[in-house]
Amino acid sequence: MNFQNRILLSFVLLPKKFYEKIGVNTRHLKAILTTKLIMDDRRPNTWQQIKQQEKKVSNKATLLTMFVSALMGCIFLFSFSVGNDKITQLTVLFSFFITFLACMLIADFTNVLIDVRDNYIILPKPISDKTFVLSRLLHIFIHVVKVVLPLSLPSFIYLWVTTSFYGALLLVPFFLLATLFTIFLINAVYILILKLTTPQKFQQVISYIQIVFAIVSYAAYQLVPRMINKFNLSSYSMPDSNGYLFLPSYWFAGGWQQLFQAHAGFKPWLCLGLSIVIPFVSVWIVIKFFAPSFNSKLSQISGSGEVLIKASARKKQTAFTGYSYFFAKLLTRKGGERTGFLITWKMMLRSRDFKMKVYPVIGYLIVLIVMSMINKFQTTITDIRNQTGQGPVYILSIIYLTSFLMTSALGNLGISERYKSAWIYFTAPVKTPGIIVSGALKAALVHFFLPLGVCVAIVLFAVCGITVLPNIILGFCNQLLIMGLFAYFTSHKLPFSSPPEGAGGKSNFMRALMALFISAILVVGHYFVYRITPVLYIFSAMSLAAGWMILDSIKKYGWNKIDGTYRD
Amino acid sequence: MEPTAPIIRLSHVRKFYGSKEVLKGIDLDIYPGQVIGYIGPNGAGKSTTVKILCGLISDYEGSIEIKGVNPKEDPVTAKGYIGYIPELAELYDVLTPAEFLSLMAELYNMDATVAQERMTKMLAAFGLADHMHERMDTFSKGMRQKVLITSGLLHNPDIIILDEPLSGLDANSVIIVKELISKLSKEGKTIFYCSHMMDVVEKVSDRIVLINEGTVIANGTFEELKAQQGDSSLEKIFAHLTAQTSLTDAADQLMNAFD
Repeated sequence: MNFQNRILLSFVLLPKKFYEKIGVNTRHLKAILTTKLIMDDRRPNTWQQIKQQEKKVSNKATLLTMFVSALMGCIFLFSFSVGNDKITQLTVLFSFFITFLACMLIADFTNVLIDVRDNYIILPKPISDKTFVLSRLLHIFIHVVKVVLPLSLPSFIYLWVTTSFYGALLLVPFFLLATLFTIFLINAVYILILKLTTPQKFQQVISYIQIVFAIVSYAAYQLVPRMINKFNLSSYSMPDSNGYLFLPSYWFAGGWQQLFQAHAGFKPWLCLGLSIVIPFVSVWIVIKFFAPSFNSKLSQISGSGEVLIKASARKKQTAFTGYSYFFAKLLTRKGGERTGFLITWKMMLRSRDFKMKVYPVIGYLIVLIVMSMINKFQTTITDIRNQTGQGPVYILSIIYLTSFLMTSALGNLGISERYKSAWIYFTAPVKTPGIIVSGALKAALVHFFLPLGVCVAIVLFAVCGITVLPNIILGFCNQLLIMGLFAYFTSHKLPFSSPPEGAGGKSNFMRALMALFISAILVVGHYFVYRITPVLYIFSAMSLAAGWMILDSIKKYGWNKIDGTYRD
Repeated sequence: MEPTAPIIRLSHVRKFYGSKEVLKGIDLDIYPGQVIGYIGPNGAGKSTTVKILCGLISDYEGSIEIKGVNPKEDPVTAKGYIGYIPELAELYDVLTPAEFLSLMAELYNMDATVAQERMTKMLAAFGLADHMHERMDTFSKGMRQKVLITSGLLHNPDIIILDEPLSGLDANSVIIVKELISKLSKEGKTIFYCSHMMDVVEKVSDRIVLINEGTVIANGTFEELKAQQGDSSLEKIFAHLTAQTSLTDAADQLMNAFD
């Protein structure tokens, strides 16, 4: 175990007497925590894509995580530009802090807290539910402290410089309390989900929450600074309303304020009281009331075969019906290509990894579109309607924005946690695996591009009328070509056949860059011929032909052109 | 010659998943020193029974006693009597066997020196002495299974629950485990052995409990079952009692599919 873990472990075990009093076995607690921390040190993480050849623990990933948190902490500093009193500024700061932590934890909980192996390894052992839940809470707490420290450091320094060391020091306990409170919030959300849905669906629900969070935080990141400029928030001060008492971040801000500069009256003291009492009460609630039901439900997350069979039996086989099969028949040839299409279609709908990576992009796109219009909405709309001024640029942006989604989808098409299942392609007597890749590409095109393209077309027709049609046609033909180029230049993987780590690589990045470059030329070219209708039609035909040729060449790929072999 | 008090007693144990009844009132008395072969087709409720005994599932109906303790009332004590060797090789594989087994020892409140000594001896017996301090992520399925078996026996439990313990083991290790089971039972340990491998169950078990669709449909020594069913091997008795259609017919139908 490394140095920082050792220190943190001794720190969290300080209230030993208290733990024992509430019925926790501290020996078990220490053993579980020690193991979990050792495992965290060794867990290969996202940045560290070196696989098993490097057995020595590298601390670089921890450092990087801490660096990112510190950077985030610096961004939080802008809270101090909101409002003209400390309580307003700190309320904003704590709101950011709690939100960021909650987002981060929701993501980490599925990996760290919900380690389904615990069901078989720890739960059958003679340990109490309380000990188990506390070990999870403390594990998360340590995990969180590693992020919270660098996250809070910039604010600490800022307060030290602008007020006093005492002021900065006071911030520390309130960050800790806010952290405890956030942990409780996440636990409550998890327990609520477990109550509302079956444990089998749990992870799916969590993924959707993660997707929504990712989009919301991206929107907040983009929108909030603009809003502040727009509404001149720097002179804002929170009105003296009791309604704020429902805002947890207000308690922590008020608590700090009261200790820094005591005010008479009931409300400041109430804030201080709430900021201290609520976090501890919430931890107590989790251990006392949530623990028993949580564990028994948790033990079912890994799933019982019988229940799963029942659930899937309810859905009738849809392989040869429905509109996926309609498009498969329309766009693909019988054999490998159609199989590739249908399998990819199903995997895209059902694979959690894939949805997690691709669906947020849809949200980002919407945020981007809203963003680009927010400042001068009225002139923008007029410009778009008349296709004058900046209008064509907006129209082209809207048309081509869907490419982001497509590239994200195509980039993830070859990747899966369950890459081993791809043995089926490698053992099947397929001469040109390119047909499977081509089927997969077509599935992604129909799945994402078609619905989005129809939406974009409807919106543009509604706003600009039929005159925009030639540009939409060229836009869509070009996008098909861009997709083809992207698929052609980046790695050629069979659908869902490669492990996530080390999926890209440098050469892949360069190739993606090249595809991007050609795409940029296409878009700029489109802009220059925007008003020359005959040229638009000619270009559309050329672009379509080029796209078709690329897809056709992908179809002819032999095994030598396919990236990656079967891995075990 | 059954002793008076059963060490495990299941009375009218029922378990529902949603509206599906997986266990339909299981009654079972198991006496100290017995080796119970618990068999049944897929989905019969074997794993559910094991999970209930190990305290993984607590929302069942009916009652259970483990050495006189009701696991619903005092799960910690009940779990302490049991050594569980799960079916899936569920391990924290970034740990070394020494680290993993130390965790187990701590959770069973064992003395650290005793645990250390015991795990060294046990791993050596399994031929894993040289791998004690290597991470298990490079281990083969069989090596992991050996670590799991060690983890289930380390605290010298009175009741040992084995769920397909032989999966992934090579022939020599299978012999070791079979020997081990009979030696443990001679020591007075109670063994609850869940498996699909009929030949092993037939050899190691004192008593065979056959479960199908959540109900115990046969319960007795191999000899008793043979006498009742008139079949010569456990495999045949199993097929006779659980298969709805003739298995030879099924094989014929499979072959007919090629026509």
